[in-house]
Amino acid sequence: MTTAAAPLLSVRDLVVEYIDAAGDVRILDALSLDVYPGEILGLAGESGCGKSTLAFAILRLLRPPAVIRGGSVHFAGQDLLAMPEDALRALRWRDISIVFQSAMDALNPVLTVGEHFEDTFRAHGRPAEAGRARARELMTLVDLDPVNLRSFPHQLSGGMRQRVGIALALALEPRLVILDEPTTALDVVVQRAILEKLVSLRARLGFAMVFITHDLPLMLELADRIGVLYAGRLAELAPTAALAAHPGHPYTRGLLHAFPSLHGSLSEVRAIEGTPPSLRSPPTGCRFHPRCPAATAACVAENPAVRALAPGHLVACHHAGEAAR
Amino acid sequence: MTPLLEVRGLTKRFAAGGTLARGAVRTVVDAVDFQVGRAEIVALVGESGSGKSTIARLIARLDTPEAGALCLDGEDVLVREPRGASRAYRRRVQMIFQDPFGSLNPVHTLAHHLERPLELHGRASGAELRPAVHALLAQVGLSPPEEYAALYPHALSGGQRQRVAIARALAPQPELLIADEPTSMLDVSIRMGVLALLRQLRDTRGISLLLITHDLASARFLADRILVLSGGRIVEAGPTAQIVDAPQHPYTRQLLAAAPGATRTAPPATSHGD
Repeated sequence: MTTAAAPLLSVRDLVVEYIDAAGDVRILDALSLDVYPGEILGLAGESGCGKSTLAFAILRLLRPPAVIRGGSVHFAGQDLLAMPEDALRALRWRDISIVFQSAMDALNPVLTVGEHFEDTFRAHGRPAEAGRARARELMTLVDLDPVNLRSFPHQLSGGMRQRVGIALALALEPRLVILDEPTTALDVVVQRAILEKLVSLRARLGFAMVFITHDLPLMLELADRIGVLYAGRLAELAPTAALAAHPGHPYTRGLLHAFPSLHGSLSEVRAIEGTPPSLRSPPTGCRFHPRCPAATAACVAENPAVRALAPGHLVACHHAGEAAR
Repeated sequence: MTPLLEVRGLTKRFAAGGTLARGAVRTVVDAVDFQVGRAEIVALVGESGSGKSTIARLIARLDTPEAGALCLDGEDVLVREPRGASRAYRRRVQMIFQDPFGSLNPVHTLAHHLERPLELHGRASGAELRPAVHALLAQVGLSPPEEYAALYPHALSGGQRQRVAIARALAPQPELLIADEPTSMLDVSIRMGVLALLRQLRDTRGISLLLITHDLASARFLADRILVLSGGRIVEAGPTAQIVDAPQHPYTRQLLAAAPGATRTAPPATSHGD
């Protein structure tokens, strides 16, 4: 990854709220991040932290009651939030595609796999004949027998369906693929095979990935950079090695120790005390402060701004980088 | 000494689906043998479809095996109670399910969820119920118990719900808990808390635990012994350290290699300086 290049995707101060009679609920609170060409950006966080909302917001796929209240999303210099709907429709899938968590729900049960490809090509004005050849090629790309183009989704295993989802996402050679928990529903052996496939396809085709997951150990293996979200805000964003070696945010440190591993000391493993906050009535100041072992009065009073701890290493913590904490 | 639970030749078949396969049967659990000792934690590890949840359901007697023996304290309960589990069996063997959102009733308070098994299994009644409910809630870390007792499930997080499910399983004072993927639906930051609670129950109360999981790292954290299941058969069994550090069967090696973090060293121990 070359951070010197211009970002492919640039999200600035994005605010998403859920309209609610009892008061609007802020799901994403002034979130900013960049995705560079060809990189894998991991987004880690727990349920309700806003990571899937971000994926949908980037493509303007949010439905009421979720609405974008502010900020900007630029893709290759174009303002996606200001773009007319038909231009955006052409851009979706051609430039930015998405792989959903549940391939069973993402695929149409009454269409064959082949018809999904035809549909995709037709919607983007590609000739049917070339499309059929391309579909066979794409199936081979994800290690599926093209004979499965005649299958219906329910005839495939969960792993095969997710491979179809990936093949469809790559159909128009997008520059960015967003993956929303693509392997969470799969068991570890199938997950491993699919991730290895994605990494090798990225190397061949050069697309960038935003990989959303709650599984931080997985992210540490896969991503070039990792963003950690907490309660709708960016807690930390850093190159993977820096995040693993020098986590600046107490939440990141907690997450790194919250997973039992197959190696090392088991006594180091511990849960983070407390539970993620309700976004309906989030804590004042830093939203992590009720669970933070190092919280001070400043953390209760004031929301910490995102700042650079080192070049490319962003963190939103009043006390990040202080010695001997 | 007789093990608390001993399973011998346990076999379960299901009719294979689809019109073309009519009459075909699939053996999901294939002549499985294992034991769980008193105050022992045994993990049953395998991929989806390996048969591990079916084994849990057979031992909980939610399903009936085609063949085999299921012995509690050396006595085959399938012979003694062929038509289904007695209340006495259920008192001794309790199950915790994967989905804490589906396993609690949304229209009842937590107190109700815990009073029922206490009464049903004769562990408390009348004026004893309130303190017994509070003791259960406190035991699973839901305090102050007086406040939690009055709540409905929707007011709780996934981790808190799973603690209620554990409290409910503890109400009959069982000797064996079966936990089917107890943390896979929980937020990552609270999973460890639930695993630690299960271990504490073994350490302080001598409860035996059969942990069903696909996550070898959780099994390593909790279990004394690991059984690796593939295609309905146990392909490898042994003490946890031996299975994780020196796996013999190719399938065990494959599972270990596929686990996230398998190729990575543990996070730095020094940075957690709070």
